[in-house]
Amino acid sequence: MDDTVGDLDAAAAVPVLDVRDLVKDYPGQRALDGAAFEVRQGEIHGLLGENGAGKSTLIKCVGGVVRPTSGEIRVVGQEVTLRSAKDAHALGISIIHQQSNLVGSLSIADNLAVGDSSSLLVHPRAERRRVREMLDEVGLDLDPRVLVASLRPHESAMVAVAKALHSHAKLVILDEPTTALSAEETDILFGQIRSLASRGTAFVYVSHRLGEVFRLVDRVTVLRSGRRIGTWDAPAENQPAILDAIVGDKVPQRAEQSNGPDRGRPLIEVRNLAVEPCADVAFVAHEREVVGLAGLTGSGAEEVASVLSGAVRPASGAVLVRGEEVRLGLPRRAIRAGIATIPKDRHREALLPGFSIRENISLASSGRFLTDPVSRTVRPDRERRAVTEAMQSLRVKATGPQQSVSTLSGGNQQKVVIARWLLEDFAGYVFIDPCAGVDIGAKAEIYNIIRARARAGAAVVFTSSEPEEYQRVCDRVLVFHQGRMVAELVGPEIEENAIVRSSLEPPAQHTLNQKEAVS
Amino acid sequence: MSASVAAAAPKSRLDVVGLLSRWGTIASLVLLVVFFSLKEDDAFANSRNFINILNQVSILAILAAGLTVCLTMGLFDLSIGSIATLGGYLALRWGAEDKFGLGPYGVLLIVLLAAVVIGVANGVIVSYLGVSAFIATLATASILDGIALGYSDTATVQVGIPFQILDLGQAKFGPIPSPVVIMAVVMLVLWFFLERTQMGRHMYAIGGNPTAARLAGVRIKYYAILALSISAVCAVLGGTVADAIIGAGRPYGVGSVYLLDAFAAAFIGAATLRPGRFHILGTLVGVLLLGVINNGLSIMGAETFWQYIVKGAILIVAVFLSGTVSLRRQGV
Repeated sequence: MDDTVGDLDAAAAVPVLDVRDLVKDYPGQRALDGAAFEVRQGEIHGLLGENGAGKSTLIKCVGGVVRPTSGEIRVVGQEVTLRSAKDAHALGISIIHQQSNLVGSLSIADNLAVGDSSSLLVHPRAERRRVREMLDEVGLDLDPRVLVASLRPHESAMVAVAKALHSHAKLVILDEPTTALSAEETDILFGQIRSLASRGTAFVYVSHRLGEVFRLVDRVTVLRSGRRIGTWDAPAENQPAILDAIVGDKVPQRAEQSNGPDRGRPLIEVRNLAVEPCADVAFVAHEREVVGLAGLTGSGAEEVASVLSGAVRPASGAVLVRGEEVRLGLPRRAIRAGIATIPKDRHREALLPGFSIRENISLASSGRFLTDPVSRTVRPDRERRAVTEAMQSLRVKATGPQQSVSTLSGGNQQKVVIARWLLEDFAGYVFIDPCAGVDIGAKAEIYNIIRARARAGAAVVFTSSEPEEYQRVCDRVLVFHQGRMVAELVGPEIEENAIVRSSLEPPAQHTLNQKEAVS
Repeated sequence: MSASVAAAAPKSRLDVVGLLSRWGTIASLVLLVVFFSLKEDDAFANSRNFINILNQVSILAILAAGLTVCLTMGLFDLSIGSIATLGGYLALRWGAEDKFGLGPYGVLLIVLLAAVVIGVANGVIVSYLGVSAFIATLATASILDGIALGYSDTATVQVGIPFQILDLGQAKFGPIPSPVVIMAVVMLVLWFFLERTQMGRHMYAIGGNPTAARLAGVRIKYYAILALSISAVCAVLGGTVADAIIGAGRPYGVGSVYLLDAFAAAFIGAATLRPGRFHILGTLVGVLLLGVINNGLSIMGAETFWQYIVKGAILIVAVFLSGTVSLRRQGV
């Protein structure tokens, strides 16, 4: 703010951030492949792309969290090497994440003072005055003594911005800041961001909510496969071109022809389900059918799948298996009703680390090998035989059932997790992103396992973080957008393009209805 | 490809740390026995002294076996010492008074039922009130200590204890004292329970990954109650045997002696054969290791403080070895 007008003009010519030819290799995967990105002073710049396009890797590189493999990053014309988040911070780059970097159990004042080592001793009154000034700067009228945990999401986002500005941030990167915001709160946040940008701070805005992005930003850059596809001024006018750039032109590929018309009787029925962010979801999955629930993170697709698994208790609604209502929110009840779930995060939710493959596979079905129902003694010979069979039929690469599951590759671990539910036949299977972190070969095998389950008569519910997977396994896809089912794609209609388009920008008057839909 | 390479790698070279972590505790047990046998051959290495060692460790073994069941699930039961004290006192006092008119065996049954009640209370506090087992059992330990002191008026029961109860500590089956028999039965039953039954499998699964176990349909709360009840029953059994050996029902200071040793034995056990896992056989090795150290050192005439120092050092080494290996196996 102290800069003279002349300095400002001179500086405006040079981009605040200029990223060129950035490459980042992870083992077995190139996350950034010569990405370029440029942010001018005082602009609000939208960074868009599908999951896995390289957005978060780019941000991490700029934020000093990740070291790029090659390429250059210039901050106000100076080439820099960022070794840590602290380096980036010192250069005026500040990243604000979804769950902001604030400590919920501390007051606003304490949060804003954290990391400010100008004096060892705290003078409460002087400090409170200083904090008030910081809050005024971002247009927040809040008591500094209030705990951050009690703030509304847009308020804590702005407190994080205030903190960033206080440390003389030239560039503030907002990573999905509005996922938890209502429409009005988003408006307030946007107003504050615009007013700060007009005073010279540059913002990078990362979001999946395209409608919002187009309302807020001055320019848009689209990444795909780790490369910049393009940068657009006046994004609102170039909306179709930008959407095309995000999706790209993809050749649909189908691993196996679906058996849609062949489906049997209704097996899993979901009625009036309300689970954040969904208010009223209903659908049916039939015998011999794979139903995909598609949508971006937070759209409701995964949340509905988690209700089916029993992991999440919904606010209201019912799930019926073969006409019988299931008590919700208890995995054990879901299992007993006949629904087996392959959860999203195999390390956190499925694997027993350091345990043998045998123990991991037989966990859910050890009841099958008991000698009698009283002592509940497990018959090791029968258990071993069943486990070995399951390992062979899923082609788990291991020395034998006694090998520790922690020594297996990701794909083989995932097969073990799936095998856990194949010792018995379940009526329904819920696969929540089963191919995440799995190599390509194992992916194809997992698709086949899923199809085989449906062929054997089960109803399968499938979600994925990669839209292209739906066309490979699903007979029918329900697309979710901000808690609503906005599209149903059947058979040949299931293509990545269609899924991505309706999950980003659903058909019909969505943008008009956005306010009502959210509130 | 990568998986089979990773799996083969530890086997292809001599894995010293891995071997040590599996066999280290058993090797030290053997070495200690050899060492004391050479040094004090007359006093140490004879069957009478070996039975004596078993007798000395029996109470510890009974408590440690129950504790092992809790530890497989990741529950720290700090109340076993206090439960042992109260249980032993009640058994001897009610036995002496023939409180319920059911005779000594009736009293034993009722005391064991009381143990189940205490264990269920522990389990409910942990499962349904969400208090960590560490704190919950610390608290119930204090309450039980208080109950024992208040109910007894700090007086020891010495008169009129029926022989059936005293026999728990003093009878002999041939050359084998009854505490050793009770220890063997408890260990055998709990070994079978943990290794061979579905309930044992489920408990290990909960200890390995509670979230995964819950999502696989395992009733975590139920098993917490079951595990804490088993350790409470073992504690009462151990406390009763301890009081029966001396022939006195003491309202304080009985179980606390065994609390830390029981943890030490179980953790030494988790460094035996199956690094990073608590199991009955391992706990038995831990118990024997502690017993041999105590017995051997006292026969050698070493002062008592050495027992504590050696025990502590062995515990650190054992936990270190089991920890490094189990962490490495998980790829941390």
